[in-house]
Amino acid sequence: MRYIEPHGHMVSRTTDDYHDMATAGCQVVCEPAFWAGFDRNSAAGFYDYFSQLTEQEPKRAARYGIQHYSWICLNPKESENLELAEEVLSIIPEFLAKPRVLGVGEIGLNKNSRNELKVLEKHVDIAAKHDQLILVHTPHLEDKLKGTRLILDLLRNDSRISPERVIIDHVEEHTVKMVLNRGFWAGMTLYPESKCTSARAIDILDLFGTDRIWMNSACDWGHSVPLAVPRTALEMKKRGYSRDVIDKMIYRNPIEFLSQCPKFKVPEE
Amino acid sequence: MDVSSIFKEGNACFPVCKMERYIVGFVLELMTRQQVLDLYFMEARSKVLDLAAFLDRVDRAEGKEDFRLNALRHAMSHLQGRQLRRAEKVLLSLSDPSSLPIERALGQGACGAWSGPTPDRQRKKKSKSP
Ligand SMILES: [Zn+2]
Repeated sequence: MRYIEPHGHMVSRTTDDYHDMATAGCQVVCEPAFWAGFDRNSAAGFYDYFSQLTEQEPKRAARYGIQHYSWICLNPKESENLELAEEVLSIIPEFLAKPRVLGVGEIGLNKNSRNELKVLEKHVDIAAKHDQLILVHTPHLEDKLKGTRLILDLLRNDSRISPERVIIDHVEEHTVKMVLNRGFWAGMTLYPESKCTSARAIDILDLFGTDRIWMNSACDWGHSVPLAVPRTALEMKKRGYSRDVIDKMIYRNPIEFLSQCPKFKVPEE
Repeated sequence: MDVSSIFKEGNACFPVCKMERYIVGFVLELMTRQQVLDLYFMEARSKVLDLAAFLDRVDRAEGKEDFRLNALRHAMSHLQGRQLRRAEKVLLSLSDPSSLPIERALGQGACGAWSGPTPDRQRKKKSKSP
């Protein structure tokens, strides 16, 4: 099995996780910038984090034969302080120019507040001006439906944004249809409790097909499973999906989306 | 349809049925009901038991409950009957149905259920009132 982990917060994981992922066939891991579990207090804190993502983590992954790419942004959870947000937004373009940065992400909403929307709009503007791919985080649990609608409306109102260059992540049964129908890519996050289980993610594939969709573990410092993608691939096999369709879901689909960024290099066979 | 003897080539562990659904680009061979039951029944049984035990545990405990319990009971009502899209309905039932952004996010996280009225809960109330 070969696969790509298109969304993993590897700075929170141990080398054992890299080892397990490499053993399971992981060729590439993509790491969106996210919330550290506490609010950072200064732009310098973000600068260090972005440096860790773009310089240190690729080296750590390379020891296990895994290519590492990242996405840069300020997490929606840290958008309430507009002054700090402005400072952080101003350092983002410097990192977008780095050789292993794929685009702006994971931007989006958390509690669907006015300031979160303002900062989201600014991120989308940066992405448009710098011709970047976008990875969007949709809110958790009861806030997801409303947040997904607000995000899709905002993106559709910006004529510079092509939906096929945007992936809307953490879709579930109540949001996947609106995402795919509007031409965006959809990401399913395989979490043990709060997002999709493997079985439900495969149900979504049964219903909506395997075009413009990928699966990720979004493994981070919380309750998550770094091997969620290959485990779901095994469950797809149990459910009768062919080897070719599984390969499309866990390898070729991520490549199709990520290759829209010229910096992304398809792993050598 | 007799599916018991139909197995994917060379792999007797993973039965595949003949019922096919055509999705753009490939033929999807959906499992039969029997196969779905064989693969997932024990897991579903265990989850129903966990849910039942959770409700018992809540009832045995002292003190007031909050809105989440009521929200869960409404969500569970979508499991009854034979209508499809139950998972989607459960998620919608637990979701904030409003459309305007909130003024400020004050550090609160999501708790899994919406505290206000949702369309399905309101429909239920109406159908109960004389
Ligand atoms: Zn994430």
